[in-house]
Amino acid sequence: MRTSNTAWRMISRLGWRGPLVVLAMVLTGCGQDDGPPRYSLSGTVTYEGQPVPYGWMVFAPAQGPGATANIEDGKYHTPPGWGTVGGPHTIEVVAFGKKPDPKAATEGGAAGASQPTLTCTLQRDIPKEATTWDIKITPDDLR
Amino acid sequence: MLDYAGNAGTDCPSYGGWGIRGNGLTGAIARKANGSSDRNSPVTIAMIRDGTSNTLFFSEKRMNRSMVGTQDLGDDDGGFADGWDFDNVRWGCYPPGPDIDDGMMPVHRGAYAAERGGFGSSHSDLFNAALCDGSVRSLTYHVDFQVFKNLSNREDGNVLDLN
Repeated sequence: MRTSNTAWRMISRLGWRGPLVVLAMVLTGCGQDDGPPRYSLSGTVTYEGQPVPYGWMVFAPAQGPGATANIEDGKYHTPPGWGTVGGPHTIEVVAFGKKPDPKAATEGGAAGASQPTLTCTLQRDIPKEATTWDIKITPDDLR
Repeated sequence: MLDYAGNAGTDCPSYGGWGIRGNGLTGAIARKANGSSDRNSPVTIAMIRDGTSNTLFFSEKRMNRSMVGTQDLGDDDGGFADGWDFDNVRWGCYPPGPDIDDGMMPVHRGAYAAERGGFGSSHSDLFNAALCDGSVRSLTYHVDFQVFKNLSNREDGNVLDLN
């Protein structure tokens, strides 16, 4: 965690040297919090071999930042730059059996497919590299 | 309409219906559903068992920037009048992240997307979070997910290390 207020207070105490310190920080990259390496994941999500029409997933690692991904037509990808940290993960899956009309996905038409047809928690070891990685869900995963 | 959302906790056993991603039983902002005896009282200081300095009160919320101001943005179209849903509360069971501004898939724009449940901001690296003791912390999106869950849960009893 970073407290930027503290950093600014320290910089302002430096007086005329402040801008020089800030410049040095920018040049050296100090103050950046890039966090641990993240790896883009993409692939298919299937249940009993059938593509999951749509839904979403939350990736929770044993340690480190989490990630999310949305599913559409059996495919998913983590948002650009915000992949998983890899390693052992708990993956929460919320999936819907059919894809709604885009208009029905807004509030006015919410009565449609608003209940998930499949929710499950998977324990998986995710590769520590940007890669294609398919997620296969079986009935055993629903227990 | 609202760039901030209350902390509805980490109690997310399943999807609870339109714009509701959890029961809200462990957050700082309780769900107040009609006729539900376990949810019809406000959260008191005594109920924040982890302590007010260890519990998230409200924070910036994650938005779809490309659709702000449109009625297609299901999580930001009702304002405070929407009550206890993702317009006004968010859940700690979703990792925080930056606003989305890419060509999202149409069905995910309105509601059915993971990002719609979580906290975050339009800042590239940080989001601001107010704790129940009144302090404000800037957290990075790289915050340990389990630590963030502990911060969002007012009664988990776990030790919290934000530093």
